[in-house]
Amino acid sequence: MSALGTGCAAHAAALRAGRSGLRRNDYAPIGMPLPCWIGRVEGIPQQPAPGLDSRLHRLLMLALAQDDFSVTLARTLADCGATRVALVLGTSTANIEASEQAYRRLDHGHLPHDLADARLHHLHGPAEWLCAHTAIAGPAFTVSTACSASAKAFGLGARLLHADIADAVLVVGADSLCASTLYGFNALELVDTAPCRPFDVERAGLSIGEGVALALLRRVADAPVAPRLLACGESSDAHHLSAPHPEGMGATRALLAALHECALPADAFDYINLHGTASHHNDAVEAALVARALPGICASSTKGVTGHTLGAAGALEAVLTLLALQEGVVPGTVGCVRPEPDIAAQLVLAPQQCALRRALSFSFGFGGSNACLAFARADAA
Amino acid sequence: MSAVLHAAVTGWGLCAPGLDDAAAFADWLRDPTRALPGGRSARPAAACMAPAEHRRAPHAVRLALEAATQALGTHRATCIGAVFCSAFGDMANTDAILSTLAQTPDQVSPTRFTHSVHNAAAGHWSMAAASHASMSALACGREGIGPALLAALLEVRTSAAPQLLVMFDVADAGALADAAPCALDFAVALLLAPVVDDAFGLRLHARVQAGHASPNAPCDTRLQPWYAGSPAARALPLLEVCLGAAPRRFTWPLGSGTLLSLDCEHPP
Repeated sequence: MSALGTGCAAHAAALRAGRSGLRRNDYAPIGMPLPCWIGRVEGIPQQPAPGLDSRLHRLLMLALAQDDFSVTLARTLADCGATRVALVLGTSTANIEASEQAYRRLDHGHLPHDLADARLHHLHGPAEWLCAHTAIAGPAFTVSTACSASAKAFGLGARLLHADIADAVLVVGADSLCASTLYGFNALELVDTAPCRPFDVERAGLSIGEGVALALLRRVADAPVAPRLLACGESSDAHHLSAPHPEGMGATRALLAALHECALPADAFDYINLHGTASHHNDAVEAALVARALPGICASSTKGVTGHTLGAAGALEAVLTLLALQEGVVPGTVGCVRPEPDIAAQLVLAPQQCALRRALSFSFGFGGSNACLAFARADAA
Repeated sequence: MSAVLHAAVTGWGLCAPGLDDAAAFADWLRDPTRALPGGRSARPAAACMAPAEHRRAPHAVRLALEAATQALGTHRATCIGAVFCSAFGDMANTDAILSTLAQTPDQVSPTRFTHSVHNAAAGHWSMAAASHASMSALACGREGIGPALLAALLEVRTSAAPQLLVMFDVADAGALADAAPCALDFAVALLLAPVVDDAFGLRLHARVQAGHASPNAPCDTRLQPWYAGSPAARALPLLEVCLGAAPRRFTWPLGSGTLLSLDCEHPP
């Protein structure tokens, strides 16, 4: 679920059409909206989320209602037993939108009564709420490594399955619009006033989005026809808190770790979903890395259609990558008109129909945190 | 029941109010006449950080890195990954950003925002240690020790290499304290290594099973205020065993219906 719509069919249709979900910023909890574009989810329910209401919990409710996901999850819980289903939720800001509301109307320096529930104010709150709502009783984790969070959640999920700690893992990426990230990235001068333009030579920053993506991981024997998570390569830049390593060393290590894990050469992959935030530095480093390590493989950034959904981006783009494999479509890099010369030869600008077997998805975050996910169709694993 | 995960604790570190490091903590623990130090603030040296980074980094980051440095000891850090876990992150920084957003949102400090990511400590550690290994940053509520230990043990199993586990929380700040009370700065770090026959260090054997956890209070009742006051201090009873207390079984919650059952054993 993202600015592109709700459910897999809406996303697949938008990818095929090269349609953007970005809109002029109309999210303004305080004063005038910042002059930028955002990826807002349409159709957030008006009624409060059961148990504990927040914007993020409503988004999670809406996501569970798509594609019969809650039905599939309930069946999995019944089949495996609730204690054998784990949750790994990747988020950057969790319910901070509720903390922001609370701070706008503090009561003599204290949280207002209606916004005092602890789960609204710490990062693990949405995971606790989701466990209570879905009856997942297995281990529950919140991974919060900025914009790589929900990509790394796949790695932890796979480790839980391989060690036989769980029989199914619900991996979630979730972040809602909030003032913290809009004003924070704005303070860093990383927000474009126009819709973001990933890999365009005139790119001028990102567009913030919100989204929730859900994936249910099972062992191959339990889901033989489902697409495969082949690997999750992870690494650190060890360079700078907010700037990527200039030669993309950390990102390259994440790629090599993923290729090593699945024991496949780079040319076994036929699509790369790039991190491609449209920030000047990130895209330059990523373009050079892809040209060097993955030459000739079709690549695109989908941030031009969803916005950068931050902690949710890893899982959202994992799902978009899976849809690309399933539908045989290479998504376009919407917003990019004149691509960086390094990557121009392989950057896909408009969507293309093309049978795909295996694909990679990159996620890089503040703190120099990198993840590279590798996926395959079941018949190409 | 799931497979058993094993590791040896080959190093540890601690930073707390009045007890700056693990050696000071060990001395204190051996002397039953000493009361628990008062105060909320620890004084982390974090000498591993480059001077410029040390100056810029928030207190919470320095606190976590001090414990990590102690646990690493003389081991080479460059290939060692780490799991950082903090229930509430850098609450002082979050409180400052939220206060600014409520009044003058366009005045949010870019430095504060950069440091607001939950993996700020993990990122600084990768720089200080020059380690390109994977670093994770978890938040798993007040009972985060079970999930954090499990995540670190899974990394040891997968990588067959040592792994740092760092748990830290800083004393609470501002209105957030209503929802996330935390009485003191506290950081603890454990260096977990694959078990080989001649390995030194406390052996850990962990299982995940259904059930509800039992209390795991420290043996030394003087530690109770810290144990109750900080999510990171849930590791204190395990540190007691590392420092020579009788081996025991811990059962920490992992989710609403599962627990991490951890048996400890001193090396033969």
